[in-house]
Amino acid sequence: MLKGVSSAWLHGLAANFIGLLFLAVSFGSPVTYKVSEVAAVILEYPERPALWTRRLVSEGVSWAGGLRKLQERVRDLEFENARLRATLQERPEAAVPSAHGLVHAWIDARPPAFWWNEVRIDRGSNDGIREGMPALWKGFLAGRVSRVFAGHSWVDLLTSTGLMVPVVVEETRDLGVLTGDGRGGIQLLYIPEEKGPRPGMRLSTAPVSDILPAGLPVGEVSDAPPTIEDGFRVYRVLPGADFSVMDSLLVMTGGGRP
Amino acid sequence: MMSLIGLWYLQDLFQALLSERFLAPDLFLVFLFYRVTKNPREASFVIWVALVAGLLWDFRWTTLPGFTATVYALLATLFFVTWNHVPYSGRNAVLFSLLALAAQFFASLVRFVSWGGFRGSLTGAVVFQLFSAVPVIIAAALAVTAGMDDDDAGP
Repeated sequence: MLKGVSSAWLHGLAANFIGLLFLAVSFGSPVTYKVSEVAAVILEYPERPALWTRRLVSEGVSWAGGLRKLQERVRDLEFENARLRATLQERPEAAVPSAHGLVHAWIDARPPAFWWNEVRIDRGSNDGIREGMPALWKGFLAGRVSRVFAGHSWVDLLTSTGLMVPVVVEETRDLGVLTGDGRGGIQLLYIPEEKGPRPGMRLSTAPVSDILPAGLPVGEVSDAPPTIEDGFRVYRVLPGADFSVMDSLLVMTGGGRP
Repeated sequence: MMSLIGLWYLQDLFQALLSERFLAPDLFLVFLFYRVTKNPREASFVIWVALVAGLLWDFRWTTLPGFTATVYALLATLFFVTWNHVPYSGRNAVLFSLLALAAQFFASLVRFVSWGGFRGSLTGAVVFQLFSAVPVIIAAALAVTAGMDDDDAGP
């Protein structure tokens, strides 16, 4: 018995050492990403019964409670709002097309090593999602679909350093570019020094953007004093999307321009 | 081996079912505890199985390879050592349930960290996981008792 216990201790220590070694070596590694991707793709098929059941239950509950109509109504209104904003800019060619669709997707993974960069959602090309489509949270732009698989996709967040989004200050029509700092913050770049958007001014996606539809609300200018870099002001931005609490996204399948 | 794969798959199905709202109970871990009480000579095998299963879980759900693996291997080791330090007469369903519940509580806490606090409150997630694990733990505890009764009644 004691021999067995000692042996278990030794095996336990060795297993824990290997586990910790894996943790240390794989944290933030691109290989981890790829293996996780392969695991998700392979397990997507055996997990289908659970996904179908979940959707069935979810839709059943919504239907029974009368929530479904309300949700569709809210989505329609969110889309209508975005479309009207674009139309108001007197750029009909930039307006969001009326053949629209919004796909609701749950966030099912958020790698701690890339916490502010991207999230994985449980909808993919089977649900009509394509690369480049905008992802919204409560009507505000939260990110952009970067990689699409059959049953899931990855969304680059606005807080990511890899995503740059042209925006317009709605009150002054100044154009700038949003980018994340990779630590949860978002900056508004390329505002000339002589210009001065005030705190609280609203930002939305710019008509000049070739990656996103115009007029999507993004957030507002923060009251933190801007810094000057190479003759341009850099403002902090208060995003409309709360990246700390969001657990689902609406992907605009009709309005995006991949 | 098939039962191990089946239990891991069942836990995976539960997680896919509950995906974004709750954490699935650690059915697989409870099953490993049961296995090790049935056959203490399997302890080393079970510890390595815990590591590999945890690693697979990490690749699928946490994207932190080694995290769940370490927790599972640690809990399997601690469970086995504690169980075997208790005299035979004291190894009963209550002890099994307490150890399994404590392990589940610890696993819930650490898995919550990897799962991400952005999804909701810590209390809600942990309480749901513990409550959903209780029927499984009770079933396993009853199976352990049944096995011990058989041993006692043996030749």
